[in-house]
Order: sequence, then C-alpha cells, then structure tokens
Amino acid sequence: MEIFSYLLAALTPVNLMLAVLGVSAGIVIGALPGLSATMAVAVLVPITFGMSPEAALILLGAIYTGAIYGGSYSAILINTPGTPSAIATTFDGYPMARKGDGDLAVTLSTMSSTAGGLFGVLALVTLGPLLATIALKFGPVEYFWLAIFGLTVISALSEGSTLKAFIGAAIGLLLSTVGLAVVGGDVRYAFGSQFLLGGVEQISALIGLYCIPVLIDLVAKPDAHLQAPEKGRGLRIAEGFGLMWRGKFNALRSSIIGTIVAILPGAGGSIASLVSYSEARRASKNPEAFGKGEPNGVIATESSNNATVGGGFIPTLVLGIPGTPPDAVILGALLVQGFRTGPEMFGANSAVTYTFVGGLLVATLVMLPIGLLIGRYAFKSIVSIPKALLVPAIAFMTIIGTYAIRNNPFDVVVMVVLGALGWVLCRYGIKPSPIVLGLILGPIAEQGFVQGYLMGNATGSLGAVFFGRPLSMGIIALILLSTLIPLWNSWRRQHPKEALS
Amino acid sequence: MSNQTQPNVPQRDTTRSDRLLALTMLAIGFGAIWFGRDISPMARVFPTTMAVVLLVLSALLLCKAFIRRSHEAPHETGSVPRRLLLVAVILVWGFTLNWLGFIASSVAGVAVLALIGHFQGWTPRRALTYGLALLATVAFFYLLFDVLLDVPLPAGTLWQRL
Amino acid sequence: MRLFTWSKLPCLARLAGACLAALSLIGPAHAADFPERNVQYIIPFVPGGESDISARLQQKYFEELTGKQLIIQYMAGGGGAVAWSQLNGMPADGHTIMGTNLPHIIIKPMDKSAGFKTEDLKDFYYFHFSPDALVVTNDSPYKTLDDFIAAAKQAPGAVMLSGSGTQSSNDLSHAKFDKMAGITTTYIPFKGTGEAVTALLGKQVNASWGYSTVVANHRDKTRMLAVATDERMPMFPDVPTFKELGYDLTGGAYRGMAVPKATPDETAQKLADIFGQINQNPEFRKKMDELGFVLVDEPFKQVPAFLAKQKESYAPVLEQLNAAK
Repeated sequence: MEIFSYLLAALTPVNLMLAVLGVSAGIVIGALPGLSATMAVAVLVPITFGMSPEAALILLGAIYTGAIYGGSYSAILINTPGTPSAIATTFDGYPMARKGDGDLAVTLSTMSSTAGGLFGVLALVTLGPLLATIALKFGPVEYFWLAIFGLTVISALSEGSTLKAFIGAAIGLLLSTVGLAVVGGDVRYAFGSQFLLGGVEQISALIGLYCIPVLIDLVAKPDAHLQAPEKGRGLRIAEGFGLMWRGKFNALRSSIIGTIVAILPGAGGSIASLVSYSEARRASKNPEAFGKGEPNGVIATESSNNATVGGGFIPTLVLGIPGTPPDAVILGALLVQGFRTGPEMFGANSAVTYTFVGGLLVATLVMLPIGLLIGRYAFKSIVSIPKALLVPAIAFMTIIGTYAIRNNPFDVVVMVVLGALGWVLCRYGIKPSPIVLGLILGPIAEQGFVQGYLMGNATGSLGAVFFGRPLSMGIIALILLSTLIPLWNSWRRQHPKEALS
Repeated sequence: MSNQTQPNVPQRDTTRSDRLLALTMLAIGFGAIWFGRDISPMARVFPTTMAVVLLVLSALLLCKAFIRRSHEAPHETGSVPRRLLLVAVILVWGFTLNWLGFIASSVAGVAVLALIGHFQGWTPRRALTYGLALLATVAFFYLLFDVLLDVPLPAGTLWQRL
Repeated sequence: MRLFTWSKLPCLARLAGACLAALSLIGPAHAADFPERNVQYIIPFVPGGESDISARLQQKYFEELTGKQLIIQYMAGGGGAVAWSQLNGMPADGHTIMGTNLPHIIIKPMDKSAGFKTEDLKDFYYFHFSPDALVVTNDSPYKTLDDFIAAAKQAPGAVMLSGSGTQSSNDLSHAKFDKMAGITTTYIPFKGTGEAVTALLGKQVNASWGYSTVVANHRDKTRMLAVATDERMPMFPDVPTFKELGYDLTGGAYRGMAVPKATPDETAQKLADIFGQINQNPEFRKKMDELGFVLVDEPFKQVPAFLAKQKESYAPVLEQLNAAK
C-alpha cells in the first residue's frame, strides 16, 4: 500500500528528532500557564520556512500535541489549567494531587492523552474526508445550542449551590460581552478605558480565576502544598494501566467526543473535554466521586482534549478551514509555503499529508515515555520546593504568561483584578469554573443566537430556524437528557432496590 | 478552589453574606442594562438577556437568604493578613508592570512574595540561596521571552522618561 | 515545574547562542544606516489571518533587502483597536512598525470608545488589498450577477449572505451594492473569513460577501459572480468586475503599515522605500497573486490623499448604517 510507505517516510532520523524535540518543547510550553499552543506554533512558523513541508508540519504538529497534553501538569499540580483544554482536568486531577496521588494522576493523564491522540490521528487518516462534512452541517443555530449544552454541564459540575453556579455562569457570560462585539461592531462596557477595550482575554481570565486563589491558599498556611508521595513508589505505571483498562470505554467515548467536537471550527478543546467529563460522570456508577479525585475524570478530559488535535486537522486539511486556533496558524504556514489545502491534500499532495500524519502518530507515541519522565520530576519538584520559592515563582509565571498572550500589559491588570475578585466570590460560594465556562461559551452562544435571529428574520420563521433543524433537535434532546438524568439519578439513589447492576 | 468539599469540615454560615452577594449581583445586573442603553440593538440583545437572567437568579438568592439559613462555604483557616498581603502585592505588581518595567516590578514582586510565603526564620544562607534561585528564575524567563521568543517585555515608561 | 524548565536551560541557551551566531553570519552584508537592527512588526490580529500571511510573505524579502530581520508579533483584541491605541506609546525610531487595515482604522474611531483616532496612526505605506467579491458555491443556482439580483428582487430580504465582521469591508460592500442594485438582502456577520466561508460551503446562506482570497483558497468549491477590482484579476480571467457589469464598486480590505506618531518623516520615508522595493519583487508579486491579493503602491507622501479618498467612499454607506442603528 502506498499510504504505508508515506507513513513510514515519517520515520527518518530527522523527522523522528523533530517529533521528539517538538513534543518536549510543547509539553513545557503547555505546562506554563499563559504559553498556549497557538503561541508556540506561531513563534516556530518562521523557523519552518527553511524546512521541507513534511518536516515543518511534523514539528508544528508535535509541538501542538505536546502543548495540549502539557496543560494537564499545571492543572493537576497547581489547579491552574495550562491551556483552556485542561480546565476540566483540574476538577479531579488537583484533588488527586492533594491526596498524594499526583503521580498517579500524571501517569493517567499521560496514558489517556496518548490514547486520545492516537484515536484522533487515526480518525484523521481513515475517515478525514468523510468526517469533514460534519463541519459543514453545523450552522449558527447548532453552535448556539452546543454552547447551551456546554452550559448545562454546570449543573453537573456544581458541588454546593447550583443557584450560585448559575449566577457565576451569568457573570461569566456578561464578562464575555466586554469589548468589541463581532456581530454589531460596537465596543461594549469599555467605559472609555484602554484596559477593557480588548475585552476579557479568556486565557488571562482562566489564569487569574484559578491561579490567584491557589496562591492565596498557599500563603495562608505553613503546611505543604501537596501531600508527598510514599518513598520509592515510582510512577505507578501498573496501577495506571489497570485504571486505564477499566476505563477503556470511558477513554473511547471521550476520544470520539473530542474528535467530533474538534471538527467543528471554533468549538475547541475546552468544550470537548467538558462534554466528555460530564458524559463520563453521567455514565459512571459512582458519580458522587467525581470532583473529589476520581481517576475516570482525568481519563475522560485528557483523552478527549488530545483527540481534538487529530480531529481539528480534519477540516484544516480537507476543507482548508481551521478547526482550532493553532490549526489556523499551521494553515497560514502551509499557504505561505505555496500549499493549498482541500481535496489535493488527499489526492495530489497525499504524500505530504500521510507523512505528516505518520509524524503526528510518532509524536503522540513518544509523548508516553517523555511525558512519564517529565511528569515524574514535575510532581517531585512541586512537592519538594519550599513555599517561599513556589509562591513567587508561580505568581511570576502567571504574570509573564498573561502578558505574552497578546503582548498586552493591560491583560495582566485584568488578570490580577479578576483573580482578586474571583477569590472574594469563591468565599461567597461562587466557584471559578462556572465563570470561566460562561466566559468561553458566551461568544459562541451570542454569535449563534444573533446569526440565527437574522436568519429567522430573513426566512420569516424564527421557530423553524431555532427548533426545526434535525441537528438542533438532536442537541436539544441531549440538553434535556443531561439536565433530566441527574434528577433521575438522585431519585434512583433514594430507591436503591431498582438500581441496575 | 473548585469542587472539593470536605465532608468533615463544618461549613460556614453564609446566610448574611448571601444577602450581600445577591444585592451586589442585582446592582451589576441593573448596571449592565443601564450602561448598555447606547449599544446598537443587534449587539445589545445578548448582554441584556444575560443581565435579566442574572437579576432573576440574584432575586431568587435574595429570597432564599431571607427564608433559609445556608452553609455553603468551608471555614477558612490560616493567616488572613498573609492572604490580604498577597492579593495586594499581586495587584500592585500587575498595575506597575507597564510603569516600572518588567524586570524592576518582577524582582520586587518576587522578593516580597518570598517573604510572605515563608513561615520559618530567615538565615543568611537561606536568604542567599532563595534570592539567587528567584533571580535565576526571573533571568531565565526574561531571556526566554525577550531574546529567544522575541516577545518584547515592557521596559517601563518611568525609565523612558528619565 | 521550575525544575524541568531549569533542566532545559542549558539546551535553550545553546540554541539561543546558535541563533545569534547564525544571525551575525547573515548580518551586515548591506551597509545601510537604516534599519540598524531587527524591526518589530506588530500585527493587530491573531496569527493565521490574512494580515499575518501577507506579513509572512514580506518577511523573507525584507531580510534579503536590509540584512535585518522583520520580527512578527501579534497583539490582537478589539478588532485591532487594542494595538492601534497603544502604538504611540511605543519606541518611535522606526524599528517598531504596526500593520494597519482599511476600513478598520477609519470606521472604528467613529465609536468614541475605540481608544485611538485615524490621525494618530502615521501610515507610511499601503501595499495591497483583498478585493471584495460576491461568492457562491459551484453548484449555486446563481450563474451570473443578474441571476443573483433577480432572486433578491423576487424576495426582498430573503437572500442571506455571510461575510466577515460588522462594518468591515464585506459589510460596506454589501450595503453599497444593495443600494446600487436597488435590492434588499440580509447580511449575516461572522467572525473572520474562515467562519463565513464555512457557512457558505455548508449552505447555511445563499451567497457570501467575501474576498477574492477566499475563492483562491477554495477554488474547487466556490466561484465569484463579480469582483470589486478595476480590471479582471489575472488569476480569474473569467470573473467579471462589478465595473464592467455597470456597478461602480471597487475596493476591499486594504493593508498598510504605520509607525508611532513621533517617528521622524525621513525614517518613515526610508521604511516606505524598503517596502516599496519589496512590492516590486517579482517573486513576491507572484506569491501574492496566487493567494488572491492585489498589490497597490501608496507610499508615505500619498497616504493622506489615499485615506481621504477611501473615507469619502465609505461616507454615504456609513450614514445609512448609522441611521439603521
């Protein structure tokens, strides 16, 4: 088969070295809050102009994969998602680390990221052109409902008061409207201030809302940040494999969700991992354990967000429409090199495409040993570094990371102010996750809604536009299911005899 | 911090703070509608709807806080002054970044936070090693961004004027 | 986390050393007094867009001409307003330049909260534009512009067009053309050309106000009914211009570069000369053509007149759009 020879072409020493280098650099970049996959890829683009297209793609793809996975380190170890895709990893990863299971959480995240990554790439190479049509089926209204679906995850997430969680989400949604409106073109709620002109940048909000409260907790008490692991326990690889094997359906389901959500341009890894998390919780026999250090929570989010890498390349390569922001940068690099995406990528240019896919596979596979190695040291060092060093170092990284997102000093101000406010709100019982969810899903919901509204006006039937399309009806059904099933579950818990085995 | 409720720790009574919270949120909701008057209709729909949602939810919370007592936040232990100091330092750090420049504000911020984060006594040896380690961290990231990644870090408007 | 970044320090330092060594080798082959060092080129949008791609193409030839690098930075936010409002606080020695876009820098300041004024930006060159075009899918029932107009007349408001942004070039062309042809259509703004073309390919809309660059990237699935250039584009010899069909519609999204206001005129002129030379490079021209861009030359001295002309062409539409608010 021709395809295999192209895939094997990825195994030249240079390409292998690029994959290893790219993954390692990507992991470090992803682990640092604020340094995103998009930025890493953008910085490297000029370097790749001197390379062959295959080598350039392999390097960029490897960095991207590594960065998405690397985001889980900071999520697990300091409760701060390194990338938005890792938000849901904090839910169970950090509680695991607090209990002294940080090593197990890192091992699980590595294994599930590899598994999810492989699934996404395989979907790209086998079903790419077919799956790409999904991207075109989703209209504005479907995006609107998808965002609403994402918001219903809040009811699944919230420990404590659901009412306060929804208040938090409403605040996040309102915050998302600050700055320039895509539809309408107005500058909203900026109050003439330069600070607010660019709106609340999602990643800086993420860093502020998650990381500042962690720092505040760190300085309050003299005891250790995380519980130290028992001596000589190693990486608990066998235990990790055991848990992965038991969670194989969870990993598979999450990988499928990750791949499909990533095909939708603009939806991205954060939605994919949130939806996978809530699905994993719903399918679990033990949903109360979620949010308190349940290994399946980590498996779900990490396999799903790494599946988005391969999934996001499907519309990028097949249709020439970037699935995720890093894909947009890679697509731009391809255009500058004189490549046009589209059917040619699986026809005339298929040699490049399949070599790239081979490289992506290799990069995903080498992530396992590299990730386990780095993870081992990361966990040990976070546990053993004294607080007088850990606190200033984390604070420093949040500040430089926030600045680097858009080279904007005002974003740093927004980050620290949001962090301080987030801490106050947290004391009142409003957790950061609903706020961040609102902030991320707000623009998607708003654009979908207003575009749908305009379409409804044009066709003369708003109802048909919002409720009449088959895909919309499917998503609405999912929304109803995800809000009703928790109710049914709590009823079932009160009537244990009827519980299924 | 998200989602860890420790069942054994008694929860703090939040009834009174809930009333304050609900009132603040009501104010924010009304504020969003008031300051959104001048926005074009197409761009106003969404924020106004969200503001109304916020108003309804806060009104519910307000009613609840007058009917039932709630215990929805864990007791916080540890040093309150250190918490407040940390918040103050980070705020000052963020606000002075553009003015003092990256290096000056970061060195100062890192030093003060090391003092806040340390609970035991300081020996000269410890002060020296910690100081060097933190300086090395700042220097490393400065080099990484400014030299290797070509991200120009703020030089400080204060020094430009001198 | 710190530990493993430390362990990478030696390796990164070596890499940095190697980069510096490589730079000094390429170094001062051209003994011009300007630029003295690398030039920071700030793109006020996210990476991967058209501003980014055209800047990436300039990058290579800038280095060939001057021996110094053009380093591309991104400072996205507020549709460019975040970067433009901070330009005048940046070093005014010609080594910091920023991409500027039309119609953005004329229309945005009309909103008081934009944070900058058009006059605050010292534009020294406008080097190309993406012409507006009326785009449909290959299998669309609209074969010609007249088909489209007939359909719009038959059902006013029912024909839906996707486009990139509000008060963008796409939006303005939509409003201008509707007025010229005496039709009413519904313009649905999307975030960027990628999302607008996705809506078109997915048949969520009937047609799209896009750019010729969109069709250049999606040649196998889309075609243009007409394009807003003065003459037919060499890459699309079969596509008529609006002008030859009787509608005086030309223009699109123009891209230029500006320096902080305090930068001396001579420095701005020198920069204009460099980018003028890049615009003449046949290889550069060819690459820009292939991507669907149209090169223009509006150097430093001509910029004020050029901006005035553009502003005039937006005025009637803006009044109309503002009245609709």
